Amino acid sequence: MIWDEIAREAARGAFVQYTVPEPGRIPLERLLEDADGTARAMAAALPSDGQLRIGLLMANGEPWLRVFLAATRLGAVAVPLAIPAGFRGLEAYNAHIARIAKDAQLDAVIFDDLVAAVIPGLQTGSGTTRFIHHAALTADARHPVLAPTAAEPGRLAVLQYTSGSTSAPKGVMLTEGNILAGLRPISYDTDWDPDTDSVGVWIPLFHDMGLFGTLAGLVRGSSVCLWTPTEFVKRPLQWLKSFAASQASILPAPNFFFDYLTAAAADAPDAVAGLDLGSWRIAFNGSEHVRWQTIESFTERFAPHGFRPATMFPVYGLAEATLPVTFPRIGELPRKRDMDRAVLGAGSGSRTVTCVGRAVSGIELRIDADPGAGGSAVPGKALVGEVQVRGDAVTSGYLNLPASEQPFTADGWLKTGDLGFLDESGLYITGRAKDMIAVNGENYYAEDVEEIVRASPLLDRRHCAAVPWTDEGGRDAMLVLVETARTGDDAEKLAGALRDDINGQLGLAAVQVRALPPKSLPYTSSGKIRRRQVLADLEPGETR
Amino acid sequence: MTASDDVLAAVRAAIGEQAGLAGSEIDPELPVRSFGLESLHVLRAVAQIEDLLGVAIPDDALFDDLTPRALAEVVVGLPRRVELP
Repeated sequence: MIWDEIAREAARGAFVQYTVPEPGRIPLERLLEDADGTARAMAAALPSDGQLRIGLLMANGEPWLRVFLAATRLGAVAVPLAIPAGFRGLEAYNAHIARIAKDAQLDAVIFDDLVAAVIPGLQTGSGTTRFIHHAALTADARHPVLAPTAAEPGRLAVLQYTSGSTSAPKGVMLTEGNILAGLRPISYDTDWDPDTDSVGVWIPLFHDMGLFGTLAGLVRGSSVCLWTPTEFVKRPLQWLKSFAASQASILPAPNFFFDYLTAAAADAPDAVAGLDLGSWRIAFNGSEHVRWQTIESFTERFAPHGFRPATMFPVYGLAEATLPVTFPRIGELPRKRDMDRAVLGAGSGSRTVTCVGRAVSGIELRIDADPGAGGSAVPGKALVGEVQVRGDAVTSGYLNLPASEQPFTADGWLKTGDLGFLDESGLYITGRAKDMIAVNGENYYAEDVEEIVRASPLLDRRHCAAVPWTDEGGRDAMLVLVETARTGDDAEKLAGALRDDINGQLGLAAVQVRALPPKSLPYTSSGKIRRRQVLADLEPGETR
Repeated sequence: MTASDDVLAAVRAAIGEQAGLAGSEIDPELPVRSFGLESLHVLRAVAQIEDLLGVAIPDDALFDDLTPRALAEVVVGLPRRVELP
């Protein structure tokens, strides 16, 4: 059990530091005692014969972690929920949470002050799910002492909903056994010393990298320092100083984090004077496409502050495998290869791809070069195809979806939806077979983009396609193709208006809209857009 | 010029900077989301407004679908940490 592993290591004297509800620091042992009290209150408030399903809707902080641990203590299912994004309006958000509440059959959502104002709007759409402020779950001597929860590796422990579009959220089912198997390599493959290493986390705890990065530390009895994403994004250099002061040695973050800091430090070189990043041992760079340019710029910018080149740790992982899939070796410098675009699929010239290391312990990896999976074999060069994995950390599937929509091959390997190739150094991710891009820490789905385009009153045809692509700088973007009878300036105006719609409703700036004559887009006989065909038809240099 | 005009000007300038537009091009009556900002840029604009005006805008004030004018009204209602020169 996750709880037992953490409890066993808590005596080492680790701390959890946080900024929410107010800045503080608590010994891990105390946090577990408090979580036990929360678990007792939760059991009393939510009498149930079955396994409880508890949504967590809170800012990164002590309450989030305590309620998560309480759910673990009870053997309940924890369902991390995303907090609303800024200025997006709450209508779509409420519908998204309501869909998850229904899909996951949540008994309760535990919330904090941050989201208190949006709870009434959520309540109306979420059926019988109860909404409880975490402060209402206080330990009480009248609550009966909990019996130990039996160790059952097959028991569902987390439903992870970050993998799926807003319109059709998919819950990745992770058992106690999956999670423990997924946490192990994070520390055991990285020369982790529980007494000297500690984890810093500003990425959301509702995100797989934030949650399992944090738990990886706790199961080893290492200290954890939490910040909120807002703190980092609002004042990146102030945050970086706070990170340096925490002496956390391990930090998981997406690629944009590194670019963002590089740019901030270039804008305000004085603000980083005296900054010492010497304690930083591993900078996990994952959950987005890892750009070589990002690695070079960041390392160059922060080397004078004690950032070591081998600290940059480009990795590959996914929620369907709990988290880690490939890691470099500790001490190894980041590696890259310049690949002919023709080998990677289409186009001319070359593109730099970053090595994300080898399969972590407990994970097996293969490349499926079947053209049906987006693959292509180039004799003597590289075998590009879909990355497929299996192992104890891999999910048994998405909740409530039929077998036909589960992400597995006939022989039981997880289809990651990412394309890549292997060489003697490890795995390189070259693109995505799934219809999603990750930009600045957020996932954007082609189907969500298409829904917005189709809803536009400006459109004179129904046919449109959104396809993920990579621009010349290796950045992820969404390319939208719409059919229209309009031409010239009128077509340009339509494209501009649709672009504004997508910008406004999704907050996605990395989007290009192109108007095409009617009947240009390829459809299947059943009326589904053939995205892969659309990609293949693009001009050279535009595809990934 | 009233204090709230100053605040609105600061709000429009900060949003404009993130959107690559001049503050005068930011229509105060359109939703902030219509300027095509990613969450990241929204928060940068908010930090800029906070630093300039000496206020702390609560995170949950941003969940609404605000216009620049509505955001300026939120800011006017906040206690100031420092007085403007």
